[in-house]
Amino acid sequence: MKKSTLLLLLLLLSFLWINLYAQTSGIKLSESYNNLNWQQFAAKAETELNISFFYYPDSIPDIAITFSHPNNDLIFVLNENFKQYHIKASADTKGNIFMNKENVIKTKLPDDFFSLSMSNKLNETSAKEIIDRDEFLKTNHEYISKTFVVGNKKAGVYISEAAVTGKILSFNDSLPLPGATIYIDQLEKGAVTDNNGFFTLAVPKGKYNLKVRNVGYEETSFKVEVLSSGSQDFYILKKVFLMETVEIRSEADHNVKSVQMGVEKISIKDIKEIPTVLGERDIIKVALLLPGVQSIGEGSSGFNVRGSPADQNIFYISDVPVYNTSHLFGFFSAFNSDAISEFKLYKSSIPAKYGGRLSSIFDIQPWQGNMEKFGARGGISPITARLLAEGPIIKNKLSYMAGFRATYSDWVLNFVNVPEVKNSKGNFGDGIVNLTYDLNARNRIKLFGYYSYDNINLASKVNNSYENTGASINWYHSFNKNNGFDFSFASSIYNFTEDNYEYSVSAYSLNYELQHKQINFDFTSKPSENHTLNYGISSILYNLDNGRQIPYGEESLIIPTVLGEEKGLESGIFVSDQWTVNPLLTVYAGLRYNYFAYLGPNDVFKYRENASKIPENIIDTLHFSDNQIIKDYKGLDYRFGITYLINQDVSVKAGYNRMHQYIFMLSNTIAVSPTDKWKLSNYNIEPMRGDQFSLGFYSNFENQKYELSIEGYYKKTENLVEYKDGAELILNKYPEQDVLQGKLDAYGIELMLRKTSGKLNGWVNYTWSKSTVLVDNKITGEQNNFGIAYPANYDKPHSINVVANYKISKRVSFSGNVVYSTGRPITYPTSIYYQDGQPLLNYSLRNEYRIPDYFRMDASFKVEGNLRKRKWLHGSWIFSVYNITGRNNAYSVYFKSEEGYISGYKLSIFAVPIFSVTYDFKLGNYAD
Amino acid sequence: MQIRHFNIILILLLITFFSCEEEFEPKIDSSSESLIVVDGMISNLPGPYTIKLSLSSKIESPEYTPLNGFMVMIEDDLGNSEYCWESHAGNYITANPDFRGITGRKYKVNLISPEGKNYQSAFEKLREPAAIQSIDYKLEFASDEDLTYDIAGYRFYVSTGQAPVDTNYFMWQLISTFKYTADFNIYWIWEGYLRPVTNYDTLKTCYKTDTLPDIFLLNTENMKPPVVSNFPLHYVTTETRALMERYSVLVRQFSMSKESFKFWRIIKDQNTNLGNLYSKQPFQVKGNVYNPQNPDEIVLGHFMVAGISEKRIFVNRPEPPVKMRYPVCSDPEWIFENFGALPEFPPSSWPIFATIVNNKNALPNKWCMDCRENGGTIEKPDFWIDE
Repeated sequence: MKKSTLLLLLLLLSFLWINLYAQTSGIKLSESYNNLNWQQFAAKAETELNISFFYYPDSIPDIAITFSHPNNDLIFVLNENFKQYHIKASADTKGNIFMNKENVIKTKLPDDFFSLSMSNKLNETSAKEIIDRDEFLKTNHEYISKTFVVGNKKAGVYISEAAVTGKILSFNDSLPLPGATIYIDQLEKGAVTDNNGFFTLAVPKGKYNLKVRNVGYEETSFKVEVLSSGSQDFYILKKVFLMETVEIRSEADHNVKSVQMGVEKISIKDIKEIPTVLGERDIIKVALLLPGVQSIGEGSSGFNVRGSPADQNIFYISDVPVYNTSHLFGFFSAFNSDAISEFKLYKSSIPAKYGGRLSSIFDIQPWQGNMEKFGARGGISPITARLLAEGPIIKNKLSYMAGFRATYSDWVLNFVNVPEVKNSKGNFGDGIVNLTYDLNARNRIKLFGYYSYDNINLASKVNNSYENTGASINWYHSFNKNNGFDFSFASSIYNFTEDNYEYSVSAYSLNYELQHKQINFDFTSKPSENHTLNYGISSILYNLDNGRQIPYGEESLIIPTVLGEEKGLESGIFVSDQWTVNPLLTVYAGLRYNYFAYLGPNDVFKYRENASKIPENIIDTLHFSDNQIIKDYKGLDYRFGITYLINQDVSVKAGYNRMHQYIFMLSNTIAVSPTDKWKLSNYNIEPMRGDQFSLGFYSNFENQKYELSIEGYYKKTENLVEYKDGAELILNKYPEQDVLQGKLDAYGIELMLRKTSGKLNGWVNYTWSKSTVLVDNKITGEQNNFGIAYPANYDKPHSINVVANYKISKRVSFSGNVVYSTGRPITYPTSIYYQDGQPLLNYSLRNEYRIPDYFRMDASFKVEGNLRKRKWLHGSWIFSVYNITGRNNAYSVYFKSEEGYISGYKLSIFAVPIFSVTYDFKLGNYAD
Repeated sequence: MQIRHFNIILILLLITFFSCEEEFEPKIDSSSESLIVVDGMISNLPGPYTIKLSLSSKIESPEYTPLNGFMVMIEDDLGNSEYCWESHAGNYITANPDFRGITGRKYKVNLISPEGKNYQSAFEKLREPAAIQSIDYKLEFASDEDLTYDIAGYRFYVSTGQAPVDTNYFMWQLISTFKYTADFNIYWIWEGYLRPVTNYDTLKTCYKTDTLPDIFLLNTENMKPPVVSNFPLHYVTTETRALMERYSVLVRQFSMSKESFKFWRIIKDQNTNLGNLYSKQPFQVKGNVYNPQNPDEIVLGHFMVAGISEKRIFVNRPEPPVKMRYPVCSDPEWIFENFGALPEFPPSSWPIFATIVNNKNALPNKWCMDCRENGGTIEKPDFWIDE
């Protein structure tokens, strides 16, 4: 409300100016300005002619500015060129050029003008707020040219260069804005804020026009006079009424100009718009709509990025690794989307500071508490109830956020007249809490905690429960103009238990625990304007308890079996540099040296060399004491990226990554199951190594409205761990005897077209990919699938995702998505043979066939409560239909021999349209 | 349905309501090559022992294709060999009637094809069988979504005594035999002419014997003491005539090697346990018979060396209030006062039986009078003991 009042006021003012100022500038343009497009033109003019342009950046199309002598007056030229767009240029006497749309009042009312008029105490409130935000009033808008003065003359006497540090903050809630860009056109120089909203910019002393951009915020220009090094924070304003709309992209020109490729950034706004299953918003389901991200099927946990198995991804939430990211076996993800602000998925271009996973890093940023005022929101879906509270403990210094979610309706099961279900129970929940403390402009401390649990009792035969517990502390410190430091310590525990009491005599309970403690020291420095260095060390201590099988119940005759513990230390030291060679060429290069030590105490078998690892080939048992190095592995990671701008809207990028991975998941099922264990590379199992090459073409067009990218990749993984056919894993003390190491080859092309703004937005992507596994040890002669390469379980060559959101009115929006992919590979029986009169199936080569193709359409409809300004609670309803067409998508096809006959069956998980309603609420009005 | 969806909380619910299992026949390029299949066994029980050789068949047209003309012998680790003769196509049985497997010795099978190719298994020890201590049964109820009542039936449980050392891998195979009757007596027979029947219950009572398709497996390696106690086996319900009169089951317990156990475990997994969320990856299961000259040649099936013990149990029809729910011939479909239509039946359908219901001559379906129509035989098995 307040900001729109301001806008109105400012627009009125600007209207006046149009009439007040001169229509010629007296500045004559040289021929070198002819035929430049607008942005180049403006930048050149600002540096060379000592003038400053003021305009709404989105309102000026980037056309080529042309003129002919002698009509080369600046204002005349601009007016001539922009006439067709109804843009008028005018100048004051101090070299400020204002670019305005004609009839601005008529064409550009503030979006909430009408709701504003409804508020009867408008003037009083607005006046007060204007006073409160006096500084903002002066600084936020281009037309009121308050100049920020950084440093002082005295300190700047003997220097020519100065460092401007500070934070970019949201005007609305004073939260720091990571990833915001600061740019000085005159110098063609800029900076991006880090995760804490900090930036540093080294500039010569002087007056500048500094532009700040961030997704979802108004692009804002500030006049800055730099006298010496100093600190200055800048507040920018959220786009009016864009709160809940989908902003697919982060930085406006990220797609084309950034050096990263294969990085997807999705904010909570996107997540909120995408239709849900059973009313639960889910970041992993959203990720599955991105190009190159696949899963085995509905209700399978984990996902596959660019043809790699699920254990090659790691999920970090505020530096805490989460090892099981699913609730209820994978139908829902373990992250409450209310408590998340955004996630980033690195499919390639993984920065050197990350290591340890070959395929992807899924980095989740939790929501940070509001520093200004208390807020609460929540919701209820058919499955869960959610509640989140946030607010300041010390205003503008210390804030908290706590978000919880839990299933609330286990009792509903009692009403279901199916005995098997009646006897089943299931519940899950999760919580995310954090504290953010801004000590001062240079220091910020964050504390974070995460917990999730699942308890599932299946038909009173098997209990499965698992939980993730994690906490982290993070300290950000900015030393000086060019150096920042990020320290974090995180601890995470994942454990599960399975009680199987199907048969009382062999009833057992089995447990497993993985502890991950990680410490990171991460330095960023800018030794010169064109270089951004990132270096540091990180270290992970793994403690695995492979668990014990103990008898369950008094009748059980199970002998307790202890599967042993394992310890490993994974350390890395890294350095990377992002070098802007020239405005068109940026290079990123990074090195990471990994050292992994598998530590005692433990006893390991030594097998005969070059022979298969089977009990018969054991030649020795080696004993190791506590912390003694049993085996160590060293690996050097390379990261390389290059971006070349063909023009401001088109770029070509290439990248190469080499990674090493020292932990893997033991799984002999097609989909990841809740009792799959993570294991460390050890004396007998070598770490995995992966290489990825990628090449891409990026373009933004129609004034940044559309973004197009085409990326191709080729990936190679060595030492992939695969189960031997028929291996049992529950009580596997020596996994090396049941696994083989092979190779994975994957390649593909991803096409993505996004529309980022407008009433209708969304994306369409198409991916063509292949992923094959080869297990053929030439030395020992061991093979899977007779040494023939086979498609990976999740290999789906063609995949199309369409996501569309349409804002019908301010209160009503519609969104839908369409998903198509080739059916996953499957092994079919190809012949029949008889044993003892019974027909048995003889199977084809592995994954030789495919299940039917997958197709699904979902839609959701969101209705916001009224837009009254004065209300204490705002609610919204979301109606979703999952699988509108009710297509019986196959999850699997299988064959059974029943009474002497072989029949084929198709299993579908969601075979009917599923309708759900979710109600969300928050304190305050719509816009708060 | 929509109201119902709100209740969906659990995976099970998801599977019960939303998931759907339907018959599906995918297009499969059935392998044209037929593979050799071995199916044989030696045990401590008296012979003769049978080894069946056949070829695998296409999945869309399953058929048993016997392989004849092989030379088949069973060899032990002391260098003795026992020749088998082909009793009928593909069916090779030990020739010496006194030959019997001895526990503690190792055995293998050796095959030579008519083309001179050799196939053999590796030596495997014949384990001393663990004795079956008891077979018990319990009346148990099972639910079925489509039924308004709970299904009643007997479940059988096996318990063994202390097994000999290194006998940890068990498999059970069940052979059931049940006595049942047809619903109506035969009073008349038409074979071109009508004659009355005096011994009208000749085809009334039958015995049916089946080897049950399910196999049951248990590994006691991790159990102490390594005994099997009340391990659940087969479930037989009142939905068929099996429990109508008297039911018997012969439990055959195999004590076998780890490798044989693994073979049967995988076979069981691949043939029954595939329709769930966490299925294992199926694959071609090689048997334990191979071609030493060409180890890559795939031979299917298994030659088993096992110690066997057996036990039989009889159970009677469950007492009320347990209801029998097998389908019965309640009303004869055609009632003929005077058999006027009988001459119209072609001779190929002779003999035609007729009965008397409610003092009226009646011509019901044949299976209502001739128990053999339900697959049994009227010969009482030797082992059969009536109460």
